[in-house]
Order: sequence, then C-alpha cells, then structure tokens
Amino acid sequence: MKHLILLICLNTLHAQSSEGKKVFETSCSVGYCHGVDGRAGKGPRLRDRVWSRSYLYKTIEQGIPGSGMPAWQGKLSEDKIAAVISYIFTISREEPESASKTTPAPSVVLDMPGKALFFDLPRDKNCGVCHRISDAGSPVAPRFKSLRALSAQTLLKQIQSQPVSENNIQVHLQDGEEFCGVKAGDDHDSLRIYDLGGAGPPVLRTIEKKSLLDSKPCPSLNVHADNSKTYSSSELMSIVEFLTSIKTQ
Amino acid sequence: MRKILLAFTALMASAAAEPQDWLTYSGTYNAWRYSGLDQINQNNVRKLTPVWAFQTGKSEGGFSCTPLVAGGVMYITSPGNRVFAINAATGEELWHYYYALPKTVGQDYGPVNRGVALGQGLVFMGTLDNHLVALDIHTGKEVWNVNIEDAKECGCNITGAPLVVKDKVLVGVTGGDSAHRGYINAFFTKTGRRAWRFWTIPGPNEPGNDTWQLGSWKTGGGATWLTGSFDPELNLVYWGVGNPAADLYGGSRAGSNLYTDCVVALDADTGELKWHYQEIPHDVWDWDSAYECVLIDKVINGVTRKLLLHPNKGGFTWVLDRVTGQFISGWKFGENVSWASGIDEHGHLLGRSEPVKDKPTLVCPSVSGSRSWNHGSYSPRTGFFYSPVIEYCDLITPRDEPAVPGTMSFGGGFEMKRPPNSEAGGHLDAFDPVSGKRQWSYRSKYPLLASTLATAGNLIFSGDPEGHFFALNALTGEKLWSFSTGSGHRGSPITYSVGGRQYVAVPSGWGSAAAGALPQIWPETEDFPSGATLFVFALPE
Repeated sequence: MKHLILLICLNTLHAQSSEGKKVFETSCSVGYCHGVDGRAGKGPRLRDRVWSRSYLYKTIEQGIPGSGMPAWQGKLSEDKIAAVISYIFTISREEPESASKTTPAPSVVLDMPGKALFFDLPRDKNCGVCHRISDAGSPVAPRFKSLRALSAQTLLKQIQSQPVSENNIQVHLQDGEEFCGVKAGDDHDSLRIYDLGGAGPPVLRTIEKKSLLDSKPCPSLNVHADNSKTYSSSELMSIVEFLTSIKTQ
Repeated sequence: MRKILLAFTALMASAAAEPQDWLTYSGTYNAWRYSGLDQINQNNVRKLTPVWAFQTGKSEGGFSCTPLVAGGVMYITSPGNRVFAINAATGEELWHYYYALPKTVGQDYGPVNRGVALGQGLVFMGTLDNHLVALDIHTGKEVWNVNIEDAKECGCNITGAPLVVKDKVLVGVTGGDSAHRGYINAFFTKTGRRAWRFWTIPGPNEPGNDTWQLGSWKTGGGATWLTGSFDPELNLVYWGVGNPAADLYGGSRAGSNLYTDCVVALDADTGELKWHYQEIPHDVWDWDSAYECVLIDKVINGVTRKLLLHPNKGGFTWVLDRVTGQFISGWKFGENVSWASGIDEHGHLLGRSEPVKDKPTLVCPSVSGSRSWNHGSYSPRTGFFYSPVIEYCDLITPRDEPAVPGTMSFGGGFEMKRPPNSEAGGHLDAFDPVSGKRQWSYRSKYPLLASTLATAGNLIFSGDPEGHFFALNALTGEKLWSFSTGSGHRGSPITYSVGGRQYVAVPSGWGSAAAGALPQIWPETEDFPSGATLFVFALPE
C-alpha cells in the first residue's frame, strides 16, 4: 500500500513537472531569456544550481523590479507556477527549507477594456500620457483620489471638460517662446514644467529662471476638452467604468 | 543659428574634415566608423600604451556604448542610463548624470545603453523606461525629458543612441520581440516637442497595412533599436527596421509584413517615407534588419552610384541605390547560412527553408545572427568593408503563442547548437563592399561581439570576449598589437585627437543576451568576468 501511495505521488510529481516543462518552454525559455532547459540566455542559468522554493515562488510571482524578470502572478495560474517550480527542481537542486509560499498581493487594477483605452498607445493623447495608475502612465496630473464615489455622469463630464485645476502655469521666455503647462517643481534657479503644447506627449522641461521673462497661472488650460474628443462616447464610457472600478491606491 | 546647424551637419557628414572629434554614434553620418587620424599606424601601433581608464561602476548587461568626443570632452553612457562627461586627454570627470530609473520598469531588452547624441549645446540619451532626455552639455543638468510611450504598457524602451539631424533629434525603440508596433520619433532639440513620427507598421487605410493578417499589425514588432544614417545632400534619413513579432511563428501574421525587415528612407524634415526596401518578406527567423546603413559612393559600370550597404542578421549583406532604393547586389558574409541559399539578380531570396510549427529545426545562423548588432567599418583608404562574423546555429521550435500587447512575443524557443560541418566561433573579415569578395579573415575561438574601428593608419581595432583589445593590419588582417583589458568586449571603439595627440578609446565590459547564451556551447564563458571600464590608449609622448 505504502508503495502504491509513493507511486501515485511520484506519478503526480511527474505529471506536474511535465506540465511544468510545457509552461517553462512557453514562458521562461522563450525569446532570449533563460534558455532551453534553463541553460541561460539573457536571464541567468537555472539548471544545475541550488534554489530555495520560497525564492522561486517570490521571484516568479513578483518578478525582479528593474530587471527583465516579469511578475507572473495573474499571468500564470497558481497551479502553473507550482508546476513550473516542480520542473525547475528536475533540472536543479532544492535548498532544504520548510516549503513556504508568500501570500499574493491583492491586485489593484483590473484588466478591462477601459484600461486598454486609458493607455491606448497609438492614440497620441491617451489618458496615460498625463495620468498615472498603479505603476503605469505619467505623473503630469496628480494621482486620482478614489473615484468610486463619483457618479458615472459626473466623471464623464470631468473627462470631457475639466480644466487643469492644479499647478497650471503660463511662461514667457526671453527668446519669445510662450506656453502653458503644469508646474512640476521649482528650485533655486530653475522651474520644471510639463509642456502640454506639442503634437506628441507632454515634455518635462527645465526652464532656467534667468531665461524667464514672466510666469502666471493659466486657468483656462483645458486639455481634456480636446483630448477627450479622440475617444468615442462608448469608449469614454468604458474608461469611466474602468476608473470607477479602481480601488483606492 | 541656421549657420551653426549647417556647420554641425557638415562636420558629421565628413570624417576627413574634422577627424579629431567623434561627434555622432557612427563617427560620421555615413556610418563608416572610420577616422582620418593616422598618427597611430601600422608601423608604430606596437608601442600603443594605456594612458587613462575610467570606471562607470555599472557592469550589468555589458558595457556597450560608443563614446563621443567633441572639443576635447568625451561623453559616455553605462548600463542603467548613466552619462559621464570626461576630459578626453586626462580621464578626469567633468560631470555625471544618473537617470532616476523607476524600480518597477522591466528591462526586457537588458540594462544596456549604446550611447548619446550631441547637438545644439545638448546631450541626448534614450532611457530604459522609454524616455528621451536632453542634458546641458556643460553641466549635465536636465533640460527636457519626454516620456515617449509608457514602458510598462508597451513592453518597449530605448537602448540605442539617438541621432541629431539639423534642429531635430531622432530616436528609435526596442520592442521587436514584444507584441508592440514600432516607430521612429523626431523631437525638436530645443523644446522636446515631437516634430514627426514614422510608424514602422502602417495603420488601417495606409499603404502596406494589407500586408498584415487581420489585426496583427497592432502587435507586429518592427523595432528600430539601433541608430540610422543621414545623407545631407539627399536630405534622407536611413534606418533599419527589425523583425516582425512573433519572431519565429508567422501563422497569425500572413503577408509580407511591411515595413519589418526593411531599410526605410525618410525625409529628414517631415519623416515622410521616400522609399523602402524589404530584405526578408514575412521573416520567421528573427532576422532583424536593424543594423547600420553604411553610405558609400562607388563606380559601377562606369557610373558613380550612391550606395547603401546593409548587413542583415541572417548572414547576407544587401547593397542598394540610396537615391531610389533599387537593388544593386546581395552577398553572403556568414559561413553557416542554412535558411536561404542565396539572393537572385533582382534581390529575391532563393531557397527559403521555413521552420514548421512545433517541429525543432536546425537553423544557421542562430537567432544572435551571423553578426550581432555590433557594427562594422568602411575604410575609404582600402575600399574594404570590415565586419565581425559569428558562427553558430540554433535548434528552433516555432510555436503559436497568443500576442498579449506589451509583453514578450517570440513565437517559440531556440537552443544553441554547433554548426553541423564546421567549428563554432567567430571571425573578423574584410570584404569588397559591392561584390562581397572576402579579402582576408581573422579567426577567433569565441564569437566576436564588439564593433570595429577603421583608421587612416591602416588599422582595424576590435575586441574579443576574453578581454583582448587588438589592432589588425587593414590590408592583410595580420594582428599587430593586443592588450588585455580584463573583461570581454561588447562595445564600440573610437579614436580622436586632443592637442595633437591621437587616442583610441574602448569600453571593456562583458555581458548582454548574446554573451549570456554563449555557455550553451562554451560552458567556460559563464565565468568570464563582467566589467565597466573605459580604456584609453596613445603612443608614448
């Protein structure tokens, strides 16, 4: 009986690692990453090394910020992550430790159509060129406070017509250039301003105070009125739906 | 102002005019990587000695930059988007700028940077989170900073050097192995506002969009990750466009996939497409056509032709008429090329051998190419084109994988293999640029993954993975000098002169995707040390 249980366990492990091999081939050894059978590429060699299970879980789920290693949580199911770790231990050795698993962090931003529209890259004036949600987008506008309390109608109106209400500024430079933007910072001899006047994305410009003739608020700066027109009404509604679904960050 | 712009343009167009500086990525707009300096030459190079070294402190991913030199000041970048201005005669640091890179940004294309561009009193650098920054050339202070496209969402960034053309700075993008749509952007140097953008994949209702199946154009790659060339007389910018994504599987992007694997000629002022030449329609091997466009003039059948020489990762070099984009000739430079048998007189590929989905197939060269990105050189003295060449193959398995925008889209996997009938390794060769006839071949045990430098002293400089920086006789390939810098070479050497003394500078620092994969064939290379040191050499005073 004991042998049978062992055999079943071994079979399960085998099935898991062969599923894991598939996951590995389609997620980890793709492109220039960890190489076939973990033989290294741009990512480090995985085979013939000693790994702790908790390190693999943490690294696979959360990725390594600032490196090419992405966070797989949400992209691979828990079963698939477990399977790929089983597979990695067939090509490497496990460091003895009590097997533990980190608790997954709750995801704040849902993948929904409105999110794709918010960051719709080919659209020059997509929302993400000024607004930042979670860790994507640009910090031209202040972070959203919770939008869940707002009605869809109110939010839609804001998207279509709200002028830039904070830090708006108009500068006049000695070389004759004049433009409106959003003030991002100030030090002893320079001003930092997001220039919203170009055809492309906002430009964070550092203006030397000595080259400044004058500056004043620019309360009529209304990029929403123009930029929201690049979306259709139904697209704007999808964006509203997405924004009202975001939990407070 | 216009006068200054034109003067700067003229300087970069002609190497012979101002050989003391190295003002743009490839030395000059024609991408020759050639210098008219000849104080260091074939007769005295054996006396070459190190005069200073500079540590950048960042060794991850390989030290891959081309230093620039203007008026006795050198500008270099290290991995992680650090910029240093250095006294080019003494090695003393004048200023540095460390870009504040967000921790959350992934580095799917490695932490490398290939260098800056200079112009109008500014230093320009593309960043790992897809920004372009402009710094004051005297202080290193940031003057403007534009987020081109959200790196987190696009799965793309910038590792290549920008190119300043008149009052604009042009920059490409990575993302060829991602579900992404590539582009080249031009920004006004003064304000950072965008002047024009060229999409490398046409959108709906644009000519060429019908070369993409269904919606595949949106995620079709077409990266522009290296740096283009410029012909001031024709006012055309030439840029190589990379492979389509998914790299190895074409089943969901039927069609020729314009303008991937093309050379494009763009109006420098407007970004308008003047002509394109597609080297590999519907690429399924990752044969990035992103490499340098070398602009040379040669007499063919009694007529002087303006030519564009374009080495492709797949092992062939295309020679085009750069006025019209007409095909002139094509020649093989890799010794192990199995995916096509040749190029016919019209420029069409012969004997294409497409890998089959889910079936492992041996393909030569490997996805690292018959050459990596590191650039070759053209010497007007010898008339030869010099290029490193690498020899190994891959067992490729194409797979149908869903394209998720902003994430990797490779369409399969690969395993490095030795060539079936010859040694794996590398060589540095001299070619006739039009016929491709090989003049000599310098052999290396390991693949050569560094750029070359040609000089009027009849020298070719380059480095190897073991850390040897060496000089060859440009006419014969004979090795004349070598110095061990202690870490392998992945960058691009340059030469310049300050106060009448000629210097040669080279980044030494092993790393990168291609370097990281070498242990699959050469296990010992896993222990090759990384590094982050710029070495500078001169003749004893």
